[in-house]
Order: sequence, then structure tokens, then C-alpha cells
Amino acid sequence: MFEKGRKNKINKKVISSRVIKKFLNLIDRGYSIDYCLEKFSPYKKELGPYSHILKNLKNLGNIKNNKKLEDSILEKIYKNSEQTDQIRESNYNVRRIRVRPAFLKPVIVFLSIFMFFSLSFAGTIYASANSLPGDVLYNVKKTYENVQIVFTPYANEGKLYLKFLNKRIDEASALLNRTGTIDEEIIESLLSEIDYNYGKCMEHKSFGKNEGKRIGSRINSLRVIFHRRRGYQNENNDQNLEQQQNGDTQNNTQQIEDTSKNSEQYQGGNNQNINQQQNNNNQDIETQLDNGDKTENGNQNRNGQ
Amino acid sequence: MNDKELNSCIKKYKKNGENFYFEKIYRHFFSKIHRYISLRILNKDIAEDLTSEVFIRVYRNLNKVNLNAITIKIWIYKIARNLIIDYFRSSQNKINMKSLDEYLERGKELESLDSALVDRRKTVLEDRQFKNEKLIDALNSLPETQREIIFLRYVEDMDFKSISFLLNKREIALRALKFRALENLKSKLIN
Repeated sequence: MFEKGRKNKINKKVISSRVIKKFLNLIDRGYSIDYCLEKFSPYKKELGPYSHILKNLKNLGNIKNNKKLEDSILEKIYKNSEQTDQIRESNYNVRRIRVRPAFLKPVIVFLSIFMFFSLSFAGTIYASANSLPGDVLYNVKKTYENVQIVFTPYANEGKLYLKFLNKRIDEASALLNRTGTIDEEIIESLLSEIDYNYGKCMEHKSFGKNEGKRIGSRINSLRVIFHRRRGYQNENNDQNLEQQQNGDTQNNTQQIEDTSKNSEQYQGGNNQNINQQQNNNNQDIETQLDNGDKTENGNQNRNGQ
Repeated sequence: MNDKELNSCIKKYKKNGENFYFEKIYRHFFSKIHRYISLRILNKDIAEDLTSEVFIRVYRNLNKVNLNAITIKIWIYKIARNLIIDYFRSSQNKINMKSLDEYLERGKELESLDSALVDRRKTVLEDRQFKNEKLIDALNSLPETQREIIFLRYVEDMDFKSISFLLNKREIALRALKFRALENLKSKLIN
């Protein structure tokens, strides 16, 4: 009994939901509510509330037309459109005056990229102004100077060479005043460059009254300091090897004497001819090279001992 | 107005841009849109403002869009729906809710206020000829999606195809939703 009653309840529920769905689908197709109710007449009780709701909903939609409101809103629309048209025209005039960015876009992009690269290049050159030989940016500085020389006329080259000479001397003094070990190759190349620049300055006669003497003495003092420091370095190496120091001190004294001779030659350089000065410079370099060879030989000999 | 007449009106308005044809279209849709908005928003003035704004937008953009007699209906309803959504979104921040304690302190004023509110609501509903208060209350207590589909299907009498275009949903899902909404409504009205 219990099972049968339950089954009937379930069946009733299922049937009613199916019927309601069918009923609603028929109405969706366009049939009237009364016709659908007649078709499903055995289920009138279940469909009653639905049909009632649907009728009420349809009645909700039946509202009298408010003609006054319609007309007032129409006027409002036309007024609004006129105002917006005026605003649009004014905007259009403003737009016509302005230059179109679509045409200028690639140009602006190119210019901005070009400006960026050129500014960055100028920045690196500016940054390299205080660099010393051995630094990363020193080569940039050198190339910039070379370019400067290429683009200046022959008459103004003398001043440039003087400027570069002063720079080189400053660099060399800065390197030599550093504590710790020295890169000998770099300083030797620097000194040779200084000699080259000095010769060029003599060619162009760019020195003032006593400038040549002063610069020459400065170069000589630099050379003295360089030789002294190189000697000390060698000494330190020797101490590490625990070998004799006598020969080393002798070498040092010899070097100092040589450099003092060189300085005398430089002081006289201002009044002599250019060719003679160049010869002197060459001699200087040779003596320097000889000294370097001597010291190297001495080291080798000591090692051999 | 038939679909054919509507089609010819749209074509002629696009060709000539005369306001005469726009007026025809406007008068065809005005009552529907006004009803659709005023059923959702119970404030009379705001509903009028929104309807006027809908047709301002239609007037501005009718030349820019390719439309049929069928699609223009969906298009205008979509504008109205978006405006309603915008209104609710903006009004969420604007509503000034007074605390309950303030009302309770006044005591007597509360009763008079309540009765005044009821009277005002009655007058509003009479103005707009919505005699069936219970139905509107029940409809407004439904969830958003269900309420929307009942309005569109039974009050505005739209097809499921056009509703599916309007709400971006499949027809089958809409039919199921409609059935659920009607059951929900029935249970609420009986209780």
C-alpha cells in the first residue's frame, strides 16, 4: 500500500511538470491561453495559477500611451542633437587646425631613436673625459681625440696637440701617484705618446715663452719617478727571491743619473731647431729602452745566480 | 507598424536623414521602452529621463548601424538595458541609508512616515496604471536573471531568439530559466 501511494505521488509530480512545460511551450508558439487550457482540460487545477499569472503579466503590458510625454521627449531629443552638432562642429574645427599625427608618427619615432643614440654617445664621451689608460672608456677618449684631429684644419692643430700633451702628462702623473704596483707597459706607451705630442707641438710652434721648458722639466720629473718606482718594484721582487740588493741600488743610481742628463737636454730644447729636438727625443727613447733592457738583463742574471 | 513598414522607414531615414521617418520609428518603440524601463525603475522621473536618453542615443547612432526590423528592436532594448544597469550601478553609491536607531527614536513620526510612504506608493502606481501591486512586488523580489526573462518574454512579448541575442545566452538555457522563474513566481504569489 505504502509503495503504491508513493509511486502515484511521484508519477503525479512528473506528469504535472511535463504538462506545465507543454502548456508553456504551446503558449510560446503563439496560441492563446484559453485555447491551451481547453486542450489540457484534465489538468485545470494545476495549470490554473500559471494561466492566472500569465494573464496578469499580459495586462501589465497594456498601458495607455502618454502622448504628452512622447512629444516632450521628442522635442528634447531634437534640441539635444542640435547642441551636440554644434559641439561636434567646434571640435572638427579644432581638429582641422592641428597637424595629423598619423603622418608624423614614423618621423617622430625615428627622430626620438636618433636623439636617444646620439645623446647616449655624447654621454659616453663626456664620461670618458676623466678616464685613465687601462680603463674601459679610455679607448673612447682616444678615438674621440683622433676624430677631433681629423676634422680640425692644419693651422689649429698645434693648440689641440698642446691640449693633448697636457692631458697625457696629467694622466701619467695620476697613474704614477697611485699606490700599489704599476703597469709598466702602459706607462711606457704613455711616455712615448708624450714624446710624439711634444714633437708635434714643436712642429706647430704652439708653445708660449717658457711653456716648452716647463713642460719638458715636468716630463723629465715624471720619467724620474717612473724609473724610481720601477726600481722599487724590482727590489721588492728581489726581496721575495731573497737575493743580493747591491746590484739593484747601483742600477737605480745609474737610472737617476741618466734621467738627469735627459732633463738637461729637454731644457735646452726650446731654442734649438725642430729636427734636433726630434733627434733628442729619439735618443731619449733609445736610452730609456736601453735602461729597460739592462734591468731585465740584470734580473735574469740574478735569477741565474 | 509591420516589419515591412519598419524596414522601409529605416532605409528611407538612412537615405534622406529626414526626421519624419525617425518620428515613425520613435512612436513605434516609445511606449514599449517606457514600459520596460518604468517596470524596472519605480521612480517616475528617473524612468522618463532614462527613456529620453535611450532615444537620444538611438537618434545619434541610427545612421552608423546596419539594422533590420528585427534587429532594431534588439538594439534599442539593449541600449535601454545597459542604461538601467548603469543607473543601478551608479545609484549603489549614492543611496543615503539612515540608521534604524534614528527612526526608532522618533517613535510617532515613524508611523506617520510609513503611512505617508504607502500613500505615495499607491499614487505612483495609480499614475502608471499598474493596478496589480502584488505581482510587481513578487516580480521585484525575484533574482535579476529570472525577473528579466519574465519581463522580456511575457510583458514585452519577445521571441526567445531575440532574447538570446539580447542577453548573450542560449535558447535552451533561457527556456529552462523561464520555467524556473514562473515556478518561483507562483510559489511567492500563493504564499
